Amino acid sequence: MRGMLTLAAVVGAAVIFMPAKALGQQQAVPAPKCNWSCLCNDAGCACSNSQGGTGLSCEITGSGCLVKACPTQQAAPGVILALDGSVVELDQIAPRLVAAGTPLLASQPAAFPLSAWEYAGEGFSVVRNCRGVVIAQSYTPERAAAIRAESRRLVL
Amino acid sequence: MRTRLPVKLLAVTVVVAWAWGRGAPATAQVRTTALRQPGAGGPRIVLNEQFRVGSADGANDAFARVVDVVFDGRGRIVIADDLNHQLSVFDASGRFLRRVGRQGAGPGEFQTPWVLAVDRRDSLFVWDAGQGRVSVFDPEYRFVRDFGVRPQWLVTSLRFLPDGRLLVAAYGRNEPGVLHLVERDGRVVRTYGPSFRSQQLGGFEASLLGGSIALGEQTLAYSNKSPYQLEFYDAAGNLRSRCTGDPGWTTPVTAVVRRTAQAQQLQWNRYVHASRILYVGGGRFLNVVVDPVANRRTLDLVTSDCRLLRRTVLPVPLTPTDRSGSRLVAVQNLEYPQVIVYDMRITP
Repeated sequence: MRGMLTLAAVVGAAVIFMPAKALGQQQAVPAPKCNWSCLCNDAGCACSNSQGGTGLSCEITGSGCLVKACPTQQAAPGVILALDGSVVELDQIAPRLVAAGTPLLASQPAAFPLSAWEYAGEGFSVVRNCRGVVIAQSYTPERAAAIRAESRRLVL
Repeated sequence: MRTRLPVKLLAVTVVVAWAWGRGAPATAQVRTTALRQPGAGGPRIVLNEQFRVGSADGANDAFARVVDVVFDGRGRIVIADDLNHQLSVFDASGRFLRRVGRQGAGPGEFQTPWVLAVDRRDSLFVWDAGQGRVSVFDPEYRFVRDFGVRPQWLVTSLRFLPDGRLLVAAYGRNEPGVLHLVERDGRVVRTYGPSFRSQQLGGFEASLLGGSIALGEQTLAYSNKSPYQLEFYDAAGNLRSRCTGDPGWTTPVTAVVRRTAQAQQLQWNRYVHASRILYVGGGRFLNVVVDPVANRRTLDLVTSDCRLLRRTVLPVPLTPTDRSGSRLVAVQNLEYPQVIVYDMRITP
């Protein structure tokens, strides 16, 4: 019996003075830090995170990549990449590429100058990133009015 | 005779509700059929605009981005504007009624209202992509409660079954399927439908998966984003038919995402995909394919036996989102977003 108590005391002391690292299985492991990064090239921009996420917190604007702080802090204005990761249709992003806050820039984004709207003909305007890729599209009021008129009755 | 009709309707409803909730999905092999090309003629869809809402700077209808629009049982129109973090409600004639929610994490507040669904009693369910939860509002749009869904879900469609339970289309890593039968408190009853080998897909590739669902009288249709594929299930969740579209009609997911040493690169502006499926009555479904390269939408009128009745390229930018009776609602984003309500007729 005494032997058992001695053994228990030794084990207890060992546990108490054991480095915390060695007790990793018993302690709460801090969640890995979620780091977002951006990459832009001729085909556009993309973001990824260190946890293999799905792009939920990633936004890409006409000025290049903007990244939200993890996990859900809002950082940016007009979204081009849809929240489910799918494509936002070009005509869904046309009107409001106006910043409404201070974005958190990625650690190593491509340094894109803010692109301007350019007229592309037939009442369409586009925004390109600095590589020339069209990332947003809009319409002149006249062209929009014509489309509205065409939309009143459709026979498909 | 007049008094028997409600009884009959009730009986039909009960039977349908019972049937929708019964049984486990069958695992039997179902033959995959290519959509048959439409012959000459075929039905035509005629859309006559009733009204539209949306303006550049109006007090009540200056939307930032419309991501979903649904009708409720009273004909009201609920519009989700994710960039304004709120919903807007209009009556059946287009008169503004009220806003619902505001930006925040509190009860009834939204970060990113993304997908809407209205049940038979006009309760409104809203999936908030930014907070991974569903908020529930009563028919007068008072906040009732919210519940979480599985955090890995990327919800792309919500529909109510006749028995009041939810059918959710959501891709989730390691989920065995993309269709989830969910109780009204968020508990998952079962998962079925197409699955993806997610181990081979990461990040954006996985997030491009998922699709849209529509309920016919006795048929559930699931439209996969890409590749073009339709699956039709009966009321018990048994797969009855699978229809594939033209090869190359949509962009393969693996061609949309390219891996590099630094990141996964989403070539978003090349992603041709099916964005929405609607039931339009008479056993026919409308499958909407979006081509962002050409800024073009194609409407396919299809049946559950894989007949392609008509394929039409819309002459104007327009994305249908919901249908109720003879009314169809669509989103048109030009220099500012508008929501258009049409009277819809399908000619023989």
